[in-house]
Amino acid sequence: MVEGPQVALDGAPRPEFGAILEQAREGVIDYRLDAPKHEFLSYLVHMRGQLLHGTASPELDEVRPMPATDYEVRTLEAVFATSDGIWPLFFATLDRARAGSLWNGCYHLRRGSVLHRYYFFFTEADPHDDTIWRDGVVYVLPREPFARTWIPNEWVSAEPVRAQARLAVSPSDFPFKHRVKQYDPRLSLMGNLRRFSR
Amino acid sequence: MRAPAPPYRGEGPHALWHVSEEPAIARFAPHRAKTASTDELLVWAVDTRHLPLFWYPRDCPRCTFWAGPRTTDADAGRFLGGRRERAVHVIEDRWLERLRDARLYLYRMPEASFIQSSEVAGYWTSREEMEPLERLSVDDLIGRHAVAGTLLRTESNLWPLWDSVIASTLEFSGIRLRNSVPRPQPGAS
Repeated sequence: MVEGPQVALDGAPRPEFGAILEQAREGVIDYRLDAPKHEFLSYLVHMRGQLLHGTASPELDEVRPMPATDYEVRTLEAVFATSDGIWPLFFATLDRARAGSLWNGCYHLRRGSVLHRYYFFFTEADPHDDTIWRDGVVYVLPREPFARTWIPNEWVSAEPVRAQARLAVSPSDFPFKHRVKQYDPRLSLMGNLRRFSR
Repeated sequence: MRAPAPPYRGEGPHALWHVSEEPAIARFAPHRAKTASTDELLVWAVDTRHLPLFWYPRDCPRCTFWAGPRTTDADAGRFLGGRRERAVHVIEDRWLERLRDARLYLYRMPEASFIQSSEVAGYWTSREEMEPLERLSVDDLIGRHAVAGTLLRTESNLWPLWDSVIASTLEFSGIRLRNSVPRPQPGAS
C-alpha cells in the first residue's frame, strides 16, 4: 500500500476551509486555495463528519443508487460514499468506461491523535494511458442515511442522498495518479498487491 | 476446541507454514517453545487459514477475534459490527510503524508428520526434524490485511478490549500479549 499524508485529528482549525464551504453558491464550491483539494476534502471528513462521493457526473442535485460489484462479486445497488479525503478522487477522475474494472482500497489506522492512511489502486486498463483520466466531481454528503459496510471507510445508502455541496476536480488533484497500477489477472490478489507496494 | 477463523480474500490452498523474521532457516528441529503449554519438543506450524494471525512482527502483541458457532448475535454486533464472516485484529498503536516496515519469511512445511492441535484450530505440531519445502518473503503487512479483509485496528492499550473479548462468546487468540503495555491503572486518564 502507499501511505498518504497523515491527518492530525487534534490539529489547528482551518477557518479558510470552513469559509469556502459556507460560501458555496448553489452548492458549487469555488476552490481557490493553495492547499491541495485532498486536504480540504480530508477536513470535511475528519473535522465536519461529512462523507464524499466521487464521480464523473458534474451536476447532480442528489446522488442516486447505482449497481456496483464488490470483492465477493456480489452486486449491490446503493449510493456509495467514503469517509476518506483522497479515495473519492480516484473515482472522480477516472473515465469508468475506459478504465474498466477497478480494484482499490483505503485503510485508516490511528496512532494517538494522528491518523495514518493507506491505499492501493488498480485499473483494468493501462493507467499510463491519459485517455482513461478525466475531470470529475466530488460530492459532499451527510452521514445520515448512510451505514458502514465491512469495507473500511466505505458507506452505503439504499436511498438517494441530496448533495450538500460539490467540488470540481481534475486528475492532477489525485495525489496518487502516478502510483496507480494495471491489475495483472495472471497474479493473485496478494501478488498484485506486492507489485503495487514496490 | 477453538473454532477456526473465517476464510479471507486471497487465502490460497491449504498448506502448513512456519512464519519467521529469520530469512535463512534451512532446517527445523523440535524445540520447547517459550509460549507453549507443553514441555514436549515440537516443530510448530500454522495452516493457511490462520496465517493472518502471524502477519505481524514476531513480538507484536495482538488481540484477534472472530465469530464461532456459539457466538451470540449480541456479541457479533458489539465486537464485529455484525459481520460474522470477518476477523478483527487489534494491535497497540505504538507498533504501527514496525508493522508497516516488517518483512516476514513464510516457510512451507512438509505436512506428513504434522498433527493438528486438539485445542486450537489451525495450529499444527510435529515431533520430527525437517527441511522446509519453500520460502516466501512477504512485506506490506498492512496491505495484506487490507486485501484479506481483516478489520485491523489500533488501541493505545489492549487490555480493556481483551478483557471484554475473553468474557464474550467470541473465538479469540491473544498472541505476545506479555509484550503489551500494562493495564491502565484505575482512575488513570
